Amino acid sequence: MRRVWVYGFILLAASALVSCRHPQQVFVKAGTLSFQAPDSIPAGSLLKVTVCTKDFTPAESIWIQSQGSWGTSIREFVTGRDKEIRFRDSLTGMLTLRALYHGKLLAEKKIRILPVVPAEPMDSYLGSKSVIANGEDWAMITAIPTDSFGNLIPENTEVDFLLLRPDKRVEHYTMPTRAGVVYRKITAGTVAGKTFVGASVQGVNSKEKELQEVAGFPEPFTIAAESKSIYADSRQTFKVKTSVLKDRYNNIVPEGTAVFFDCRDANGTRRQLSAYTLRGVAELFMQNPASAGTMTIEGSTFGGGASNQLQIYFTSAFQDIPLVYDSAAKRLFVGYLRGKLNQLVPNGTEVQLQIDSSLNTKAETVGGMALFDLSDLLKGRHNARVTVFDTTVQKEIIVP
Amino acid sequence: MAKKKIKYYRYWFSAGGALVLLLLIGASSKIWVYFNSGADRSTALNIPPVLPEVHVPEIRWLPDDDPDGRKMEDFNRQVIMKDYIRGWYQLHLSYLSGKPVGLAEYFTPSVLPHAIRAIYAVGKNLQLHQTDLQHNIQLHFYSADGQIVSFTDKQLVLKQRLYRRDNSEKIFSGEITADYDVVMLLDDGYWRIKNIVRKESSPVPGIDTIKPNRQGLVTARGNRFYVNDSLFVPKGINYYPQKSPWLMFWPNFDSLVIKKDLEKIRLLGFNCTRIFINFSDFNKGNVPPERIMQLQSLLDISERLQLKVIVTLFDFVGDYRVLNLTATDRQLETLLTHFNRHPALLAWDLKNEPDLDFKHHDPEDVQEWLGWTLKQARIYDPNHLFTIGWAYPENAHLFSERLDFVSFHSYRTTQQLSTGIDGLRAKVKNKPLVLEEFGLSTYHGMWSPRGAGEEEQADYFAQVKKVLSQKGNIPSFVWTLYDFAEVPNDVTGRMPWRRNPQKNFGLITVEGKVKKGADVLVK
Repeated sequence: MRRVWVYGFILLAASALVSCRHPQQVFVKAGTLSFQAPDSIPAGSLLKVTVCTKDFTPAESIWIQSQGSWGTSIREFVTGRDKEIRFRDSLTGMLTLRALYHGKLLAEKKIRILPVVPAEPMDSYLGSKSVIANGEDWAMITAIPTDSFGNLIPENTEVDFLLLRPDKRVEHYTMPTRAGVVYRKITAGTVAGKTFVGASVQGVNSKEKELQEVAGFPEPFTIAAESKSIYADSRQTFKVKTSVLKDRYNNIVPEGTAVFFDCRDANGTRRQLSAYTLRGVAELFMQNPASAGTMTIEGSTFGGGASNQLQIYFTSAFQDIPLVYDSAAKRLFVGYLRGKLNQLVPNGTEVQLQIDSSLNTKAETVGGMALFDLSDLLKGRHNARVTVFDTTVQKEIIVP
Repeated sequence: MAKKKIKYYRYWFSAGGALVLLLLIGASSKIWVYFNSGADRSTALNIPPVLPEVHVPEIRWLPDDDPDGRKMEDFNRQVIMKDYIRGWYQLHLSYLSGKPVGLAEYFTPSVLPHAIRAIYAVGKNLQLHQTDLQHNIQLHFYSADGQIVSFTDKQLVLKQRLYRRDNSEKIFSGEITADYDVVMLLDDGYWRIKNIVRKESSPVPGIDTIKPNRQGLVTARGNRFYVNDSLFVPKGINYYPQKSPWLMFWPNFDSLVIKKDLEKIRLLGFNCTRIFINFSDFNKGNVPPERIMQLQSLLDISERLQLKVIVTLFDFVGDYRVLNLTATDRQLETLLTHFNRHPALLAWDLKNEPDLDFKHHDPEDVQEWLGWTLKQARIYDPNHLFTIGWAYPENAHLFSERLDFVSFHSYRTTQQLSTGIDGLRAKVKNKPLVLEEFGLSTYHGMWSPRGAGEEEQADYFAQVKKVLSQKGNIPSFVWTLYDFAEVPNDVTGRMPWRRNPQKNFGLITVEGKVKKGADVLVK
């Protein structure tokens, strides 16, 4: 008998559990409910909403949903116990209050939470960070002014933008906020430099923003050679220097602007070299050519002007190449090699020797002279060709 | 006596030993599985434990404000919306789980605390189910460097259901509409919400609606169907290919097989078929073009063979939570807008046997979903007929006012069918009724030794025909064309006494022989 009771209890409990999973809809007769609250309040202040109920039995739970900008909050209102609900919402926007009772929407009230005065610092954004000072390019300063709770301030609030331009001019613009933001296009001037931007609204300021206004592409420029020696000795260097590179508004191009130099030697050798501007001037040290004749140099920049064509004439570095063959010692002496001022060529100057188009050898000068050992040379007549830089002389050698 | 005791203990020891052995096998297999399976995706990727269907609310771009700043690029438009919608989705997931989930990626650090506070403001013992259904975006500002955007999301519709966590009691279900002014910043590769202000909803400029054009399509007047003012009497059959029924249908779609089968249906004397669109196979809210092409191919073949088709949508959808609404809505929009003038289409069946879900889901939720889907469907296709394939005639009166004809299924006795029709007709006076599924399995074997044979099936069909004729020539769709060699477990479960009978409802056997019942039906 006792077991029957136990089983009965278990069955009852199980059925109760099952019924809990899918609760039956409770059909109740709802009373009436209304909200009494202001239509709008400033953010952060206490909102008191009086809830007037009628024809409700005491201790009934009514759920109050408040739907605001950032989401939903739900609280319970118990009839007979509660008279009002209190909010302190610091986030602006339309707050919709709804009273929910057993699936029914009993009442709805819309309250606007208004932003308070703007607070520092005002968020401001500048983009792009640099523009070309050509009077056409533009950047934009955008500000998102908010109050102390981070709420967007009301539409059409006037925001002042102050700009200090590179030519020392001060510009002032007043723009209204729209959809939370306020912005102003900053059109570039024709003077390169920095534009400083500040925004303010009702005495509240933003951080300072900087806009770089840089010179545009360089205009044509000139190049000139300095400290040059005129000898094609492939050893000395000379300086090629540009004039000050400027854009069409006379702004000096930014530091580090690349200048390309296209150099052609008299023998057709071509070199492409580059240098970077410092205070608008690019300098390049070039090695003297090996071949006597005219060297041509032209400068150019990306997207901009080119230079004049610079021509430099280089004369041969030697007066003569004396050759002496010592048949007893079977040695060939080259030298003394002298420059145009009778100076001996530097030690280490390369001398090439070719004999009968078959033997090729090299030697370096010491004290203006190079020495070739020809002890392996067979008896008979031989044609020796000696080359120093681009100068070649020939001599017949007779080996006894 | 002592011997008996020993025997008694032997039994206990062997039983205990077997139990311990089983436990050991169980425990070691668990360990084996643990070390041989990858990390749980939700744990590894730190995604919320309950990830509902794809979130794809409707997004309409209203004309931009005059672009004083930078003109918005199409690509960035999509990227911004992706992050904005994803921000809402994370909020919904957070409400669902009762704690902030993945919000940091979608809100700037300055406002993240607001969003987190909102999640906790719902209350510990309450659960808010919420989804955003529709967005109308009007762009106001796009900064020159492409890093700030300001827009108004007009008439944003939030669908909400509020539950108690302790007993799942639904407190409220409803929609709330408002405008939102939104400012977003591009930061660290994400567009994050910086400010959001809720406002009174404002009117949205007129949206182009599809104008109705029912020329050449099936219409319903009174209790009858018509095509171009000529009476049309559907004589239909439910169809799956023999080798790829149910979940295997669309992944194994073969238009040659479909063509042969539909020709067979035509030769048997039917003029209609009923097919099923599996919600998951059609990739939920993002329907791939190849699925549309498959359905197009089936409908085109049907048109050539002068067959009309009832397309049953959302097969195997059993999730009526609000977070699933957008996915079903997108699939509905994709299919209906594409086929809203197809002449082979007899009707859209919004859901197969939704009343079966009344047992496992809140009937209110099921009906709310059906109501919402029907409302949307009429927008996407104002031309074709709509119905719902109720499992029982007792429930078929639901939504009858809003549907074009009323469909129900019956696998009961012909007497019960007759009574069911009478009951339904009493509630639905002036709409066509359609018996959308009926049939009798010819399986008799180990799991149903006294099952019906082909003779009984033919008799049953004859009786059903008689009842339908008596009740005013109610059109019918028999279940089904073929017997199947295999039925997926998802359809009937694993139990062989359920699976095996389900294989033998067809008019054509697995061997290809036409059963006697086919003649009875088409006479």
